[in-house]
Amino acid sequence: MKEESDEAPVLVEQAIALIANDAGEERVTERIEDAIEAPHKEGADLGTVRRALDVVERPGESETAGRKARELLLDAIDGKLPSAPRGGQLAKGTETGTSTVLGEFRPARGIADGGDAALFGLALAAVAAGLWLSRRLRPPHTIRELAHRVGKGKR
Amino acid sequence: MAFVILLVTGVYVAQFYAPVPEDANQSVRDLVTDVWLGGFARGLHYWAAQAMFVLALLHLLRVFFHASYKKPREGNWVVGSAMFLLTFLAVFTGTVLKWDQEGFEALIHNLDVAELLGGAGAWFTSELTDRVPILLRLYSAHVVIIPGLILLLFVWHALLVKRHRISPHPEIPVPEEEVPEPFTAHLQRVAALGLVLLGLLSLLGVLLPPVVGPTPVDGIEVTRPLWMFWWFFPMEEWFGVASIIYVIAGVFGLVFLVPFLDRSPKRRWRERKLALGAAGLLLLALAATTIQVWINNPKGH
Repeated sequence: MKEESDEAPVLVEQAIALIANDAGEERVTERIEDAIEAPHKEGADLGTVRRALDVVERPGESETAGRKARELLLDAIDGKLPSAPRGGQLAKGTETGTSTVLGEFRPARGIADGGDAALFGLALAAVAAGLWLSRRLRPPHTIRELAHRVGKGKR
Repeated sequence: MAFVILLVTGVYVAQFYAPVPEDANQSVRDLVTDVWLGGFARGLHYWAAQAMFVLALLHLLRVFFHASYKKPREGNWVVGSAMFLLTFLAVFTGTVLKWDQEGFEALIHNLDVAELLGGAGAWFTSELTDRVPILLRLYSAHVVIIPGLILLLFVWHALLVKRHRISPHPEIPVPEEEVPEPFTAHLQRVAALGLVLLGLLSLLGVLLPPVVGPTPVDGIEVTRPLWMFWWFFPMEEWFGVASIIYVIAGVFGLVFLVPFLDRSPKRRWRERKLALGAAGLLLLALAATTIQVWINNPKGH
């Protein structure tokens, strides 16, 4: 694990990612405080960062607070994430190439539409057909029968 | 069968996946939302990968507990172990390819380990070349190198089975007790059970589609990996990064060396107390670590 960055915009980006990953108020607060206290503050509007900290620390609905804090933090760095590719340069090595921190994408569980229902039906049919074929094609004798035969032979 | 499902769904998914850091995560989301059967193909691929890992592990355990690795089948055990290791690597590279926070953190842990290995780990680091994103290199491993090697080893594995014949059950050492059947009868059974597997994985793909996490940001640790990595996941926190190398190398090293550590020709359970006891202890330790991660649900370190 690398040492923590000493640049405020990088720490702001990390705070945004912590909110997106639902890392908890404590870790988000800590990272925003690190951004405020970072030795290199260029590229981050600390007044806006402080407002984001107030939003996170304010008691109330954490989801709404998280959304608001994310907006403020992004505003604080002028909407430009430090890890975003610059000047047409593509990401190299282990660079993330992240220019927008997207939230988690969770497709709908269960049967959501007609297509899902059709796939569900086909899947059930495959299980049923496979089980029927497996029974029909099963070996002529079980392990237990063979072991019994061997046992008899020894006696 | 799981491998065949992975190949088919993998070819389909690859048509829409962009293996570049700037777009990889978004391309997976678009695959699910915009591509015909894209979400289903991804779900099936995800569950088939886990099925292949579990089934390969169960096969390995079956061969171990039936002592089928003993002379003259030591070589085939090694080939099978290599296939299992490659399956593990395929799951790892696959988890990174979706390029979300979880995949990126897995990659960073891997890089930490690779750096400790020096030259031996250079392939995983930017030392090899800083021109090509590591994501693209892992993509080439995931879609060409690893499945290609698995396929080659599978052919070798099957040819060795043909040469040495299927190992008899330890309790039924007299093969003439069985009615002889052509190999095609065995293949028909594989196809029938494969159909059951395809159906079950399709059900999972529809009912429990996999999520895509947030786009990755360097410098934070907030996720935990897929369950098959839990047996060594807490080691970094407990004993440091280097311990991950020792644990992985130790476990896989032991697996590879099984036929050379247990040279006795005895195959019945009651005559193999030491081998079974040692394996039982190892499995218990791995299961306990896995359950510990599951229960305590640590995210990051």
